Order: sequence, then structure tokens, then C-alpha cells
Amino acid sequence: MMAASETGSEELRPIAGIDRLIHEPARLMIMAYLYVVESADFLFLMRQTGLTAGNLSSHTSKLAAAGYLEVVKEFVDRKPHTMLRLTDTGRDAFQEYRVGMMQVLR
Amino acid sequence: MPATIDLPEIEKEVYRDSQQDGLMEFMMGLILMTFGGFFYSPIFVFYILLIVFSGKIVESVRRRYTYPRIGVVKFREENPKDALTGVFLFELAVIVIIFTLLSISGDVQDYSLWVNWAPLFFGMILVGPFAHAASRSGSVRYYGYAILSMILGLLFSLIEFGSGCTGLILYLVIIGGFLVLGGLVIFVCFLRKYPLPETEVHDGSK
Repeated sequence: MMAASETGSEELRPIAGIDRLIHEPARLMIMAYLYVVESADFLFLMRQTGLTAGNLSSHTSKLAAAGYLEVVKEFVDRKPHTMLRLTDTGRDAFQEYRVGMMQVLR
Repeated sequence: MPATIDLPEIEKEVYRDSQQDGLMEFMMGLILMTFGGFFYSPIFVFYILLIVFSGKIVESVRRRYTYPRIGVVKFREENPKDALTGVFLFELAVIVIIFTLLSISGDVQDYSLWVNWAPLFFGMILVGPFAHAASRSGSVRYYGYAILSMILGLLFSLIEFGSGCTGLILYLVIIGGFLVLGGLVIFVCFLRKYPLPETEVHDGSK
């Protein structure tokens, strides 16, 4: 009985390694969209994810603070324009998250 | 949260979304029409200028009309080596097919035979970019353009037009005109579907 329980917890242990920052649904969407492109701006991400400006800003700030996301400021027609893109760390973290989730959920 | 995160499908969806303004069709059509005009009256400089500046023209129109409505997305550049290999293999296949067709239908050294079949040749070449756009976006309309360019190419090759490059010119003007008109309709629908946001979206950063 004891052995079975230990085996069960062994199998579920990878769950503890899942990146909680990415696991949150809104951030997962942001990461997935940015993973397939080079970069995107705030409006584009808002439309794709369906998040409000406030929500998106809050989530992107968390991802940027973790070093997963880079905020690139540029000027377009003399107006400031912000592009968001995943850093190499962010790409690796997202890839690890995918592999981890595939191991956990079969 | 979606049940599955299908990254290739998301990439297609994003590409489709970014191309929904119809400007690529419009510009491609304009280039084809100008190319048709070039055979009629060699306005070579204008044609070269249009090709050289087509990217910049599309980008400047997008900055004014598209980006304020749907935002900006930049895609990762394809590996130029893979792209060139793909283009080379595709063009080689087109040349082999055309050469085989001409060998079957007559003397390959006959210049008029090449001129007659030029619309089909161009139609087959056009299949390349359309098929590429279709596979990248998963959009049916690009497959439609590819099929149309082939069918029209075949049709204009089979019809007798008398002298010179008339068939080819008509083919380029008609397929180009179709793309220009199609692009314009898509663009107008796009403008109506996405009115300018009343307030400018701010990213919340300082």
C-alpha cells in the first residue's frame, strides 16, 4: 500500500517543476503567440488574446520581470511604439513548459 | 484556456490575420499588370521602380491604415538558403514541364511556340508564391488564386491571338486586374470591419 502511494507521488512529481509563471492561462496565451512570431505590438496581442489593455500590461510586466519577454521601444513616424518579443530565455522556458506538460498529461 | 496549443496552427492564424488587408494581392496585381504593359510598351523604368519600392509602398500604406487597426506583427525570417533552394527547385520543375509540353506539341526551337505557351508558363510560375502563401496561412483564397492563374494561363495559351505577345499581355493584365480588384475589395471590407479605435491603445509602460 505504502509502495503504491510512493510510486504515485513519483509519477506526479514533474508537476512541481511546471513553470507557474507560464502556466497562468493569459500568460500562456501571450507566450504562445509570441513564440510563433519575431515580435508583436500591444494592440496585436490584445486582439489575439482578447485581454484588456490593463490585464495584458500586467501579465507582460510579469513576464518581462522574469526575463521571458523583452520590450523594444521604437519610433514610428515620430511616435513611440512598443514591440514585445520573447527573449531566448523565454523561448527556452516555453519549450520546457511544453515538454513538461506533455510528460505530465499523457 | 484552449484545449490544445497547436503552434503551427497559431502561426498560420497570426499570418492570416496580418494579411487580411488585401494589400499584398493589390500590389502583386499591380506588378503583373505593369509587367503586361511592359510587353506592350517598354516602360521598363516604371516596372523596375514598382518592384523595388513595392515593399516600401505596402509598408507605408499599412502604417497609415492597417497597423492602427489591428496592430503590428513581425515574423521570423525564413532561412534564405531553404527559400532559395525551394524557389530554384520549383522553377526547375516548371521549366522541365514546359519543355516537355513544347517537345510534345511541336518544335522547341520555334519561337512562336514559346510565345504561345508563355501565359501557361507565367501561370505555373505564379502558382509558387500563391502556394507558399497558402501553406503559410492555411487560407483557401490563395489556393483559389493559384488554380485561377493556372487555368487562365492554359486558356490564354490555347486561344489563338494572332501576332506577338498579345495572349501573354492579356493574361497578365487580366490576372493582375483581378488581383488588384480583389485586393481593393478586401481592403475596403477590412476598413469597414476594423474602424479606427476611438482611443489610442497604450501599453501601460512608462
